[in-house]
Amino acid sequence: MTVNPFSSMAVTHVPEVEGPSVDTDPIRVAKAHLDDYLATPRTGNVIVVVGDYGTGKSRLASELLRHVDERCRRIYLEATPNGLAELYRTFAFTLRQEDVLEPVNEVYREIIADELHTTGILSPHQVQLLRLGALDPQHAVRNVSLPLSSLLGRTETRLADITRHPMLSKALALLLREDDGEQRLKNAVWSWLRGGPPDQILVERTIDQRLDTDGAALAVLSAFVRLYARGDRQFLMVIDELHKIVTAGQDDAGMTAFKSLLQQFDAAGAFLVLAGLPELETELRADVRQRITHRIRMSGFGTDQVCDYIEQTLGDVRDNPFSREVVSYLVGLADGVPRKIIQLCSELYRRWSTEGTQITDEQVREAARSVGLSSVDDVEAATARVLDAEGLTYLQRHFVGQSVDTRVDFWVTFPAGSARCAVVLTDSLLNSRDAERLTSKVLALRKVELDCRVLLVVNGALTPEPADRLAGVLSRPPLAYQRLAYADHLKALLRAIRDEVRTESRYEPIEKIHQALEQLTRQQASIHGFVERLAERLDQVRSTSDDRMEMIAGRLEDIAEELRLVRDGGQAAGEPPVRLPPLVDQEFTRAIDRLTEVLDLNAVLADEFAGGRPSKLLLHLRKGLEPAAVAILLHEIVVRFRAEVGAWYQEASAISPIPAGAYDRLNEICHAFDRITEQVPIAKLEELADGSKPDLVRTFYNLPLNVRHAFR
Amino acid sequence: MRRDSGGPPAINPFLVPGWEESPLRPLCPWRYESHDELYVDVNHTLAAFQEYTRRMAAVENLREDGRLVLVTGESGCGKTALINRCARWTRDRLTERGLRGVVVDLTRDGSRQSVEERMGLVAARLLDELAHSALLAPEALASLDSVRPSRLYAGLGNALPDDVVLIVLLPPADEVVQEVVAYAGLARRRLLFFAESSYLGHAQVLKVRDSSPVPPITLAVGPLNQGDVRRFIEDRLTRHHERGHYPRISTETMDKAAGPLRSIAMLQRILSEVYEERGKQDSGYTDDDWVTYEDITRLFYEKFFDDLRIRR
Repeated sequence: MTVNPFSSMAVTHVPEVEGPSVDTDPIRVAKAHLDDYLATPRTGNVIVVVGDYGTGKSRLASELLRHVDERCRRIYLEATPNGLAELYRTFAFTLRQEDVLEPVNEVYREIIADELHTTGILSPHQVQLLRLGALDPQHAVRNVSLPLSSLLGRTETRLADITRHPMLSKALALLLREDDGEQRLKNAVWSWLRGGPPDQILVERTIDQRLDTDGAALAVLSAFVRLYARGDRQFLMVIDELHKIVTAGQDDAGMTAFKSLLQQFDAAGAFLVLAGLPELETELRADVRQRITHRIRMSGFGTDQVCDYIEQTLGDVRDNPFSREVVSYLVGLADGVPRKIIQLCSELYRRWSTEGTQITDEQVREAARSVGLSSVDDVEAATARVLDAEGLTYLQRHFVGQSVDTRVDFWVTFPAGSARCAVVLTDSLLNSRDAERLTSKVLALRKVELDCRVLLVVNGALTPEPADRLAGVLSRPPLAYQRLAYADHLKALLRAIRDEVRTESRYEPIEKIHQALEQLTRQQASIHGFVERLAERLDQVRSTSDDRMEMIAGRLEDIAEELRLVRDGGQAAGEPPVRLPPLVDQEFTRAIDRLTEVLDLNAVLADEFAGGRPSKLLLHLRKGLEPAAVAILLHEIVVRFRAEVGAWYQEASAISPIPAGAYDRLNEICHAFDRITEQVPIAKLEELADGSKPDLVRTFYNLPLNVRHAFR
Repeated sequence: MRRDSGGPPAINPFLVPGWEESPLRPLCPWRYESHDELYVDVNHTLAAFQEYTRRMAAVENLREDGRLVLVTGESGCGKTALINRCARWTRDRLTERGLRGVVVDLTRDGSRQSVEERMGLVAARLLDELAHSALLAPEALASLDSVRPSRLYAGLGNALPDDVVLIVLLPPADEVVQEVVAYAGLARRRLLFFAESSYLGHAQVLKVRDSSPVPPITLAVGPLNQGDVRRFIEDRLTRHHERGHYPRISTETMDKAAGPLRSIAMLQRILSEVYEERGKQDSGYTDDDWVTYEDITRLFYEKFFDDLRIRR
């Protein structure tokens, strides 16, 4: 079997650097800045690295971390949309105990060395040994009964001079104290450092502020920077994905705290790398931007670089199936984005090596449609998880209006404001036809809900042309689904929309209309362009031959088939698709959604196997097996009920309108549902919902009734 | 320690007779009468002791008004030894006045807990000790069991026999002012609390004084003064001369050792171990032999860099 040398993931696992490295200009420039810094201690640097998804920012970060090697302390942090306090928590959890104890012990050793130096009991060489960290100071102090309390007091004072954070200094000095068998004092300090509430034993020792606000958290982070970069010591910190915090709507106080952090890097002589999407820099407040010493913009790969990369990857022993022309086409299609290029190379190489397919432009296009595609179910599940985690109410696979174009994958309601957000999932967007298809959908949605937001999630490749065309009609640029980063990106976008909707809800109605009109004006150009293109296409259609018409008809059939498959969401594989009128489908969707709200078994199991989180499944099971069993069983019953109703409808709708007598069978099916559910203790579901969903049980009792009403 | 055949034994003059295995335990005259003679006036401890006896001259007043005594000073300066001496003196003075001073040692009952938990633990341990010594009738014990410390200490004065005053040695208080202030308030009739701390500085002691309903007697034990090291060494080298033989230390070495040996605990530890090491070697352990400054620095180095040697 041929081993595929290209990584299909194409995501850099920081700080590891995998695969061959293409030394691009940005990497060379960044390394040069870092070399300057290493050669000149005490000179602070704040470097911003911006670039689109997959342009190699994380790669650059890991190259820098590797470049400094052991020459200085280095830390890599990945930001999340949960704000600066969360960034600090990431930092605190990244730190190993020795990362904290080592610099504290270093200060402690200096204090002891100063004390002993004046006594003359140790030779200068021995004192130097002590300063260089050749022994455990706590052990040494104990062994000769040095005045512990006085030394610790001086260490705390010295730490406060360095960090300018008395509370942190007190906490760090407490780590040097002798503790009881349970290590309660030390555990309390660690817990506090990681953002927990201060234990009473710390409060009594004046450590009484929790590090859970942006200001408090960043003040401690700044203090660590001063500690790590004190004197001639050097310190490199990389904060990746910073745009997630900045674009999530950082408040003024947070931004001021962040500015102060950057100042600390400068003043302490440390090296900070901030990496993120291009909007990172524009979203930073002007006075924060002033703290940036160097800017690096990631550039895409050119054909030469990709050819080099392919040659390096394949080495001398493998045949190279990529012609320069194909590489050039591939680079254009992927817009030079390294991650996409590597994904495409991987897929094309796989096809070539396993199926013997020659790599042509056509093959590249096909590969572009399939690379990185997760299953629709995966994307749906990931989306639902984020919406649940954000506490948002939503309907899944919902028809906003009556037309097929108004079907959305998620219809999200925000706690404040009346505006809704549609989340639409789509496969690759490669050309103008794709853009038109989605523009038409967005316009159909807006026709029903004027100020609805539309978030487009692309499960596959996204090329610049359709992205540009869609930019005018969408609330936000399309979001390309990337398994690892999706949750964070979606969360940030939803929060931004939520804030926008909340702000708008405070406007007077007339202002809202004014706003909507402005939005329409902004969209006009795009819509106008779309209409023009549509007209052009219609002209082409009129003048085409029968073959052309057949092709269009074929495409329409494809679309119909796609829709059928999408509607088949709740069905087991192999069963006939359920086609129901939107209002009826809505009833079933709502019932299944209510079940998913209390127990989304798939999501819970996915979480469990992903590991690292508090066991949600255990929490459910602690309430007894029965509530969970009821949820699972009821889910199966509702899905079956829908399938039966769907089968009936398919048959009955052959005659239009449906004859009155045909409804007898529907009634039978509904009675069967009632009979079955009578045997199921549905009320047990409330135990899973902790009483927070009062209408939960009624949803299922009323389901047959509502279905019958929806048909009439 | 070697024993030469025939003559008086070779002894270590820096170990307390009977406590040879634990050279760092503070003197405890309320438990061992003979310890009372072993105090040497270093670190201002004599002045602090005298201050205590002056302030507590009317010791019988403890029957009506309790008191907290707070002793501060850095680690190893002799706080516990001072407290033990004060406790012994108090007990003797009470006896002279026809009263019974009962010392309850709870110094080891501290832990890294909150003030409330620590005080609860101390209260429970105090009741254990009182039950063990049969000072409280079973019904009085039952009524005080599990009550909050504030109730316990308020009720204890009434529950104890008329002639008894409790001298309670509390666990070290670290830097927690709140705990010391609480005990100052809880020192009700027939209760004398002794608290010590290595971490309360001058400012915090003032805070304790200002915050306490009845200000505690505060005693500060300072660092070693000029002449303290020589006085201590001379005392030990003279005191044990009749019990056995051991090498001498020149006054020059004593004065030189005063540089690095900056606390009584360090002095006691290093010199006792220098003599132990010397006893194991063949370099002479008679009254005519000498312990030099180099012996002291060598031992210090070896002890100090102990873990370095292990690592190598």
